[in-house]
Amino acid sequence: MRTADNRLILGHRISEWCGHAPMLEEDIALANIALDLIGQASSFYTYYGKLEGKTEDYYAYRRDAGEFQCIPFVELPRGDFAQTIARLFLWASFDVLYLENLTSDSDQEIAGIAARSLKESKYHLRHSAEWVLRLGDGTKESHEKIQNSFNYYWPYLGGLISSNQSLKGLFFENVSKHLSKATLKTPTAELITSNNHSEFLEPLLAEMQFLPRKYPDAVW
Amino acid sequence: MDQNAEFEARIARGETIEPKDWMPEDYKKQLIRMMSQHAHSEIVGMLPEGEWITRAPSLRRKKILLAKVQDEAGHGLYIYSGVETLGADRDSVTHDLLTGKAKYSSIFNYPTLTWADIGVIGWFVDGAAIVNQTMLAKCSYGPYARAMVRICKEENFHKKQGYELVAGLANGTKEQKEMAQDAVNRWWWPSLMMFGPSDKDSPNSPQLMKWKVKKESNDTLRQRFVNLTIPQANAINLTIPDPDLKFNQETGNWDFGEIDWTEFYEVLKGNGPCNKERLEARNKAFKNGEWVREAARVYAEKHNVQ
Amino acid sequence: MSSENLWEVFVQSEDGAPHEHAGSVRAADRELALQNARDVYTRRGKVFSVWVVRADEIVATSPDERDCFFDPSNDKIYRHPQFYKVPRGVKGL
Repeated sequence: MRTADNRLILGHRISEWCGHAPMLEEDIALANIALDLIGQASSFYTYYGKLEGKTEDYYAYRRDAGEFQCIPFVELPRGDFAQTIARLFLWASFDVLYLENLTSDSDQEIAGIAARSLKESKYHLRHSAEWVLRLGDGTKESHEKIQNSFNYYWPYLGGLISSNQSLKGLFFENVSKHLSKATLKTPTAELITSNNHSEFLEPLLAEMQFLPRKYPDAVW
Repeated sequence: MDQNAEFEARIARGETIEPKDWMPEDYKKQLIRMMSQHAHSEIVGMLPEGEWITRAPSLRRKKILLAKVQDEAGHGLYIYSGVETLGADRDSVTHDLLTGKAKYSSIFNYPTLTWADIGVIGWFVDGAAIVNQTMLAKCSYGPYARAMVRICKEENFHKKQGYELVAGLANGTKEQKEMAQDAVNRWWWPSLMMFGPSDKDSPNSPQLMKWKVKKESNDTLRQRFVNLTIPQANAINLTIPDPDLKFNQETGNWDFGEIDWTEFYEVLKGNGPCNKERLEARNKAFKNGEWVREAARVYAEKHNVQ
Repeated sequence: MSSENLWEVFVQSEDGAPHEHAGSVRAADRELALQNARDVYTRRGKVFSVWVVRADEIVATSPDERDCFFDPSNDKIYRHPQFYKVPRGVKGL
């Protein structure tokens, strides 16, 4: 459930760019990524829904913040383009490893969702990695912005790796290799291990869930 | 034969004009004006609907809306790509939008007040756009016509999802039905105005039709849209807000009431409910993105991959 | 001059099919051009491969030269198999 919630909330954050990206081409790219992530959340919710007799929309729209299991890393506001790219790069770097692992899950259905999602995640990684290079090795301004963004998100990686310690080594190795290629420093800040929600989740859900909450009997 | 007569003869034979062919300056100018206006409309059109992506009431609706708004960016780009073939590059065309020099469809200066607006926009606004674009797919300028073919293929889903959404509301709870009717009331007349001024007041139309850029007049297209839409509204028991609406047995058309053109020209002049917000939003996106575009440029030069 | 380069985009819809011109994108460099082409022109249906080419690197015939470039090949009927007579009943030619 945590992985589904993470995908929905991160997808929501990225979808906020639609209509406001630095170039129109990037509007489309970010919308694609948001669609992928929301679609992945959908697949996982549908899977759990079958076990628990609930719909995907129940999980997205009828649960309170306390019932959501997403981590602060995905809840933080979208920030500027550098922040969006830094978070997406870190997410995708981890997600590719996570999903690769999951494709050999003993549950065929989970393995199938992972295999489909993996293709998408590999592209997210490619797209964000290319932007990390351009922002890192672009202008002085872009270098500072992307470096600050990595510094900002770094402690929150604790939440991402907490339940997947075995992937930790390879993940940090891959990330720091790419950061140095982009002339960036790998942050050294300590990781936050608590997964308590941030103050940003509640308002996000209030916005996302307002129609189904206001008209509980309506079907959309 | 002089170049102009040769050009007119090619148009008369129904030939397609391609970017490198000789064309009258005015043909080029009118096309740049019309195509960039069309592209800008797609881009500004992302904003009113984009407002609702984070508030869509189901995951299915959220994905549909996101894909639709994304398509609008894509469609804007197809047309900008066509404008580039006339030597008007993207920076200058974008500049004209951001400074308010270039126009875009006035419809996008109306606000989206409720979720029902998202459905009615798909049904009316995209419905009207499809009527217009189906005609433009046969336009004499090759790159524009080809962009329209591509867009028409993709845009049918836009109208269908909108109608499905509204039909669901119309069959839903009392509040949902009221929401749907209210949105129909607000969007009907602005949608009719999308086809532009009446033929007798449309300064550019005769020349554009002579050049086969436009193949049908504003009023003809408007009538086609009305004829298509009324039965669709009847089928889901929503009322079109026009007391003069009447089926004309003789012509087979739905006769409709007089359009309030004062409102049209006010919105066109920039006095619409959201003109300022829309342009500000575009300017903000452009300005906030400047450092990103600059970084990409510098990187490309540094690594010689431009 | 626009700040980003113009790239023409060619899309191959399936294995064995030719690449067809789809439109253009603006991008600062090759990789971004390729990614933009993917996002702008391949959102639907089957796609097998995409090419991007700097627009200013394309060499094309000009409309004035159409006559001398293409008409001469249009009246050489001996290039077409229908031009040749074969005795009745002979097959496999």
